Amino acid sequence: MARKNEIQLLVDQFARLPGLGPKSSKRIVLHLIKNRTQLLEPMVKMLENFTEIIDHCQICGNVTLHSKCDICSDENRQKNVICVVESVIDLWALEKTEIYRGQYHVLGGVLSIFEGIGPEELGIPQLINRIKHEAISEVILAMNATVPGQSTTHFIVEQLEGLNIKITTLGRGIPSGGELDYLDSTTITSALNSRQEY
Amino acid sequence: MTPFNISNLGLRNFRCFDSLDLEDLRQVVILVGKNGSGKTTILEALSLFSPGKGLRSAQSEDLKPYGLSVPWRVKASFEINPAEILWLETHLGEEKTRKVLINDKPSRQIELNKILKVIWITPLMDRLWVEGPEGRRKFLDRLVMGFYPEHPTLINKYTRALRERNLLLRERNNEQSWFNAVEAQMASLAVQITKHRLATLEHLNHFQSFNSNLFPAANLTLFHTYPKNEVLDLTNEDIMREWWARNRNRDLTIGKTLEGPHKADLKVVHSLSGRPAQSCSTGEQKLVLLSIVIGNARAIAESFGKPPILLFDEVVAHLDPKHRAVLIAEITNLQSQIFMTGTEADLFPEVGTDAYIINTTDLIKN
Repeated sequence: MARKNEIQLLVDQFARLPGLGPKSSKRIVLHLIKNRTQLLEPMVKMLENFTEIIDHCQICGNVTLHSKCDICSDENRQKNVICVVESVIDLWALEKTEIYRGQYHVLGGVLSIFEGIGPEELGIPQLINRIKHEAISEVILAMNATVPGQSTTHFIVEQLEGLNIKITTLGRGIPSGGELDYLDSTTITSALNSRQEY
Repeated sequence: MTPFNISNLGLRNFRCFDSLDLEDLRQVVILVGKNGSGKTTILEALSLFSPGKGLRSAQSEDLKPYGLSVPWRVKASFEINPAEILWLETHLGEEKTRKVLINDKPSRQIELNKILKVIWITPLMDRLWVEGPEGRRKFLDRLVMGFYPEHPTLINKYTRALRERNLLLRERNNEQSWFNAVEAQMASLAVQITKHRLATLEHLNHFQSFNSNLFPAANLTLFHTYPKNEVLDLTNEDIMREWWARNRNRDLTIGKTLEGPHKADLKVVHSLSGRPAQSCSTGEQKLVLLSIVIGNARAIAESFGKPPILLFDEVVAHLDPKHRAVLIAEITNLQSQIFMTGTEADLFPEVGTDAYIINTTDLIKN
């Protein structure tokens, strides 16, 4: 078998990134080669710098350039509410709404026996410890509506049993602009079950 | 009822066909030709206009011509009215998975099920009643999908949770909270799956009652086997959760989950003789299958507002003239578009002059 050249190896590296396939990776590599000074060189420097300083917040698991992220350092945010999310991308999605002003806890995944990710790997004992010791009054479990996401929610709820804390989950059902006639019965059932007073 | 028929069908690099275009198709399409001339392949291409792997349960990559690595493509047009044409396309994508386009717009496979329903009978289904429950369960779930498009998603989710429980049994059997979490998901999904199955059987039992006497109704019930003196209500989430929790130690010794909707079976009884389908003659078994399919087509036409497209592979040719005539009349009444295969056109004398007859022997390149 012929040895792959360096350009092809770089294309392969890009193709490993989420959302990119072989075609888009080729386009990116060629674009970087074409724009060497404007794009490639500053990007390489930035990535080198990033590798050295990027870290996870020691309190919530968010990505940060310091030991404590901007959210955990913000004294104006509510300290008694924690929103538990699967990943940083979910945290960003919630932050974009500008509605939630409490704390976060990023699990970094969900329970998955297939990938060997158990409660310890997700830091669930640390989360429970944090809830117990930080005078938390409400925990919002904002995991995705997937089987592993909901299993993880159920698992955490069980660990919180006996603590005098309000536990909530995100509402589920009709999407904005959705019409009942076009929704499946599972979604409508979910919407009915989480109905609220007008 | 407005018919919803495929007008044109195009195949590119699909199994034995390099390029095939069938135009101006009618409500009844007969595919005749010698063995191996591609009759079933055309039905298979049509079956891909419903979610899943089609009537041969083939992997997407295996649908290209043998020995070649070219991507295949199947495209069809539907005349909704003289001014509006719907285009559906499915093809092998770059990641070796099957892609779907609806009016040239990328869509999920499940979206197909919201546009049209496709039902098929193949010779492989002749043994449906005498073989194990897995085939009947899959057959039932395919019927359920006609009424509940989200059903395959629920089955996939349940299967994932079930695999997770089985792996927990083998690898982390002391994690009781983790078991509780997974079993809670399983219970919620089991209830939804079972309710969909029961509601579908109710539809099918009801709509078969309109069948001609030549196609006597098959009484359909959902059946589960459990340890002696135990009755398990699969429509009750709490009962299911409690059941799995109580039987963890027993399941642990076996290494898998013994009860649940993954073990359900379809019990079929011939309504005239009162005999279970597996004890009926081969001819009666075929009639039972046809009764269910006609009932299903009628139920879908009623609830979906459009009759389903029917694909009958080597089915009609094996019926006697009386049954053939009644079957064709039933389907014509339903306004379903039907594609039937047989080795010779003479086997379909009852279809009349309106049928579109295609000889596949002339289509394939040798």
